[in-house]
Amino acid sequence: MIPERWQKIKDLFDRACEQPESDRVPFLESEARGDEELLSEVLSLLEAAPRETGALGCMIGPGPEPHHLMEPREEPLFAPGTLVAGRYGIRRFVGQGGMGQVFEATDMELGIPAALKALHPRLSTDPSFVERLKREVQLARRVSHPNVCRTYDVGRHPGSSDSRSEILFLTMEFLPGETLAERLHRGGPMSPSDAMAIVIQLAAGLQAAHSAGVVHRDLKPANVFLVPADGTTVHAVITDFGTAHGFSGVEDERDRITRTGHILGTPAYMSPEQLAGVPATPASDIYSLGLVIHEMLAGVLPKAEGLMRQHWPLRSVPGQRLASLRFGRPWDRVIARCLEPDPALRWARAEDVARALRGQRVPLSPAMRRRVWVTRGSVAVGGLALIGAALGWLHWLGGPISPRLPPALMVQRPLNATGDRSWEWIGTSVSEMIATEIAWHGRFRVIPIDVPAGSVADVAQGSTVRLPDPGDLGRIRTSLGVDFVISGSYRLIPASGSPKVRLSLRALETDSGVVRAEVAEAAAATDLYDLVTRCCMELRRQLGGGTAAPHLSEGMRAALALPPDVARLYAEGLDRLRSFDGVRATELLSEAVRDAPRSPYLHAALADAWRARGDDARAIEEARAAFDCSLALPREVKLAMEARYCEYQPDWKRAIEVRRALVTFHPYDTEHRLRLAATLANSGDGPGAMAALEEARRVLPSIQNDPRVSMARAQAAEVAGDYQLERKEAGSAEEQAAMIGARMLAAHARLRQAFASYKLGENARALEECRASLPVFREAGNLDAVARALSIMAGPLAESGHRAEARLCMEEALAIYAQTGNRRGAARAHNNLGNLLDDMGERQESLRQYADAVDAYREIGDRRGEAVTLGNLAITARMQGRLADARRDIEAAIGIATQIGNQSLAAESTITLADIEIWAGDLAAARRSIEEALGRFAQLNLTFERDEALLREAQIELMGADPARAASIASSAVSGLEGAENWEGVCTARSILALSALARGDLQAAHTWSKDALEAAGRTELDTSRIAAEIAAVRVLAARGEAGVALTRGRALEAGAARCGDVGLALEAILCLGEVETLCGEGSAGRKRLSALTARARALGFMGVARKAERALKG
Amino acid sequence: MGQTDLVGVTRLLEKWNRGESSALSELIPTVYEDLRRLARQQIRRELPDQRIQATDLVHQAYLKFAVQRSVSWRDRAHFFGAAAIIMRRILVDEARRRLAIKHGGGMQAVTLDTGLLIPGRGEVDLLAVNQALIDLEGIDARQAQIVEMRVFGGLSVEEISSLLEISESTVKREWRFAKAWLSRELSRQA
Repeated sequence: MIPERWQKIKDLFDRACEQPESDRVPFLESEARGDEELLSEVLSLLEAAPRETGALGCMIGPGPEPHHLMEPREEPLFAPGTLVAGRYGIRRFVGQGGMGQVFEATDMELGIPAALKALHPRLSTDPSFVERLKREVQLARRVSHPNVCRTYDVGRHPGSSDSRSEILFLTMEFLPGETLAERLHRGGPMSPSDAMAIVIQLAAGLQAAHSAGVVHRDLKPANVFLVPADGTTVHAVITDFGTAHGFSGVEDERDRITRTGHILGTPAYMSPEQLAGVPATPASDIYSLGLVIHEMLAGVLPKAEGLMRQHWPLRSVPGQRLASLRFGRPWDRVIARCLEPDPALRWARAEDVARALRGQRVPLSPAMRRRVWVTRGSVAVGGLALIGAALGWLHWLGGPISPRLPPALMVQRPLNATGDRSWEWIGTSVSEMIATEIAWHGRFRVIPIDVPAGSVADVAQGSTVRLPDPGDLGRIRTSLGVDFVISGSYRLIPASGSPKVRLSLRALETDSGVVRAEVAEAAAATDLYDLVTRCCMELRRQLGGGTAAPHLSEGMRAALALPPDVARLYAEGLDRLRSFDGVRATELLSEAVRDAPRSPYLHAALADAWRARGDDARAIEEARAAFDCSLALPREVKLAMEARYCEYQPDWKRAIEVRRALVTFHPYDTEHRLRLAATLANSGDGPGAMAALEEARRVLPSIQNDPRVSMARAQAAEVAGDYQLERKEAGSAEEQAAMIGARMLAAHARLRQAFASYKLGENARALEECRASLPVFREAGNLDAVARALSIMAGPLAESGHRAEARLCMEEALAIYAQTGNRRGAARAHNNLGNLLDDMGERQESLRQYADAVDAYREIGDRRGEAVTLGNLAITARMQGRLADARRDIEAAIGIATQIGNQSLAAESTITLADIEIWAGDLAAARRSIEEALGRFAQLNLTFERDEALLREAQIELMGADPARAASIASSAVSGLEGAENWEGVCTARSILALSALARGDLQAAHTWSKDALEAAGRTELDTSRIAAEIAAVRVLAARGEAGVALTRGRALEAGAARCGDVGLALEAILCLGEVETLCGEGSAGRKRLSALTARARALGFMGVARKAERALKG
Repeated sequence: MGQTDLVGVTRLLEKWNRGESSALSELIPTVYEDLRRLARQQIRRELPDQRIQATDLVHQAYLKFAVQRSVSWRDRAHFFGAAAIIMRRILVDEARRRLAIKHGGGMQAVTLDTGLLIPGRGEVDLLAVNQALIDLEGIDARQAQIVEMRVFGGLSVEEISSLLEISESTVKREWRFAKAWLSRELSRQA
């Protein structure tokens, strides 16, 4: 490009950048003065310019695999003309859905058209699925109504090859025309009169079904057919009754995902209770009908206007106009009432919808009367009931529109008012039970105490002793999106026999500070679960969440109603776990599991406790047990248990699927979203995690200032390698946490900034940040965090030359890990301390640390860590001259690496083994090792390591007295080594070339190569390289007859090598000096030296050197 | 174990500073070995974090250089200027080596904070960045130098401005343009 042109482009680009974005194009058009090429050049640059903020660092290296949730489309199961089950002639393939394929067919027996739905073969072969399907069809067949598509039959078609590939199919009424979805897509919103005609038919069809005991479960425009009746009217028919989702009762949806890999369709038309996993009722269909009506009139689903927060369902006044409804009477009232979040408050019957639309009077349902009462009650209590009771529609950008959020509760640990600390466990037990019990019913979201991105425990604990003041409440509300805080206390009341526990609880509304519900009950400690259940039921009732469906409570009871002694162990174990005492937690929880082996909650807590101690093997075992025990429990519990199991293994692909499913089913649950992001980040998918958090912020505007979200973003940035962004997000998290008084979370955020600073090379800043967070952790007794902060501090300290201080930090961290039983932390700290001490020259102490690291890794079953440390140990042992130990360690490392399938680690370790074998003089074994390593490197295409292996091979050939072959191998490696600027390797290669030339008697070449080797050694500045090159040089000098220089340099070499810390090289240097002495007229000194060397090398097992020394003595 | 001859490095830096471009070619092998060794040490060391930032390594190499002597601010800038060139070489070598190992084989990735976000691809291919930079060198050598210093050496705008003896606002402008240009070239390749 011509420089002037380039300058012109740059100038124009710079000036355009200074313009506001909206003015840029007009600005450029006028400035380019008709130069189209210039214009397009600058425009394309402006488009490409990264935005000033939010640019993620880019990662080089392997990225995460994309996960595929969808299966590829399949070929039609039947070709046109096929006769299915001897009765239905296929006319054409219509389409494919989640469950199978749809065909247009002719019933040859009756001579009428039929729709044939062939199920996916995998579903067809599941007996329990087939059984349920038949039940559903039997039910559906009971409905006979002109607005309901008739289901005819279930049939089987023999597959092509064998009986196992039988295809199950359904036949139903064939409907000509288009679906309502197609009509809306094609023609846009409908006129009120067109819509009225259709809605009245839909209501009639639904009513007929509901009367027959059939719930549709998936009413949506795509399931409504519009059949042209005569010129002007259409006949509306609801299809897929009780079958689309009816195939899958709530508890089966997980199975379906597992089997087919499909996530259920968009929750756009589902009722809040379905989204929460509660079985659908006729009221659920009415909710969906409300959404369909809205879409018919507006062309879209309801949207948020002004994005108001979620609100309390009971306070929405009957018939109140939804802000986004503009359809006038009677529509607005009908739609609003269909869309009541509380099913009890919707139209009681589908036909009521039709009546209301026609302007007929609708009888008041019992629930309606109740609401009037509750509304009045609320006004009496707070006088605020009607304020802010507008709307909670959320606009889910880029996705379907979701219903308003269920209110969020935060459960505080109730205050122990017994005056006796031995009853402390009741508090934990009760708060756990309340959270589980209330979350169970789906009407509320529970903000739990622990989430991956950080703990809000300190928010909850900070105010246990008093009712949160209005300021606290406001912060809890804005930062965590909490609507109600449940708090309370318990005390003992005397009773005959054992004392009873009296529990009083209240629910405080965070935006008004008013107590919205209150309850106090007493029961024996043995009946704690029943006591909590009763209290929760009452709280729910007062808060308007309805009472529980009894069979769900039964499921809960089985999982949570533990015998009192077990409940106590569980509660105390959880307390220990939360205060980072992993040892005690595992003891208590193991005991609890022994006594109640079928509770998934106990196994899960124990799994977490083992995990906290870094014992992955045991953690996986318990996580598996938790999952197994949860199979009879509802979906959310099962999925959560499965997710934990997958993450511990780790099976990231499946874990992400499960976490996504949880988010799909519970889109308003912050914790599910945070956990999904954490899982994505842990699996290495930083951008994925970031995207999940972006979506969380869109769906849940209430979490804009949630410090946990910022922490999760920081984690995602870290995984993506963007430490600047990580530090920035962690900084926001710290501020947000400080705002709500969550000191611990703020300190964690500060520590994360420290680690980011360290990774950014800003050691001074990193140290400062570590030092700021330490006292907070110390004060709170969060020992694990103290140890983590100390380990992080050691890095910048060591790197800025304060090794002694770094060592002290590591040692203190180790002492803490010993106290808390965190073996993973300890293992890592031992290994790193070993490296630090090795750098400091304290080899003995370094070895001890490595040995401790190996023990710790073994104990927790971390095989990779064990192998890495064994490799470190072997290298040190080899340099110290303990060949047997070195061999034992490296063989163990190779064994492990092979077992866990880590090829590169195995190959790298094999090179270390070959080094040991070379020194031991076992050339045959060394040759085998090198061949093995070469094979692995070739497979992995690791040329750098391959060249390193070739050097060993050349060394072997040289020792095996084949100098020509040694030379040819060394020269084949040398260019690659030079290209990679691996001067250490280049030096070795050139030394070998010099020595092999010497062995062939080519003194000139030997001289040149040895000079080159020294040059390469100079570039490395490594003592070991310098010594290796010098050995070659001294030998060459001696051979050239430069006796004086050879002797002087040989002696200096011997002295230097003795200090280099590598016993093998030191022996080689002695050998060299001895030989040179013999050659240069100091025969007696040389012989004496050589025989001493022989003895020493033999004693150490350095047989290669010993043999060479013996040969020299003889020769 | 040997250490880079610090006095030598300083002397070479001074020479380079005086405009003797041959000093750089002498400097490279000295610092290269240090950087390479640091990279390999990192892999052996069990950091809780699994990735290595390129500028991280440069900073560590600098620390070794700076710890035992008082270093003037300009020395620091010169060191980073040289280290950026060297780091680029190491990373390109590393990337070539890595190219064939699609799924890592237990290797740690060295990350590069280019500040670039290429639409449609999550990660930037270092070799592509390198190639684009070579192209840019052909058109606008100074701009390419700024990119190299920022991306591979982690130099601040202030440091670059002192080193190249141009104003900070010029550095910022050039960097802004270079980012756009590189993004466009890289997304064209993508």
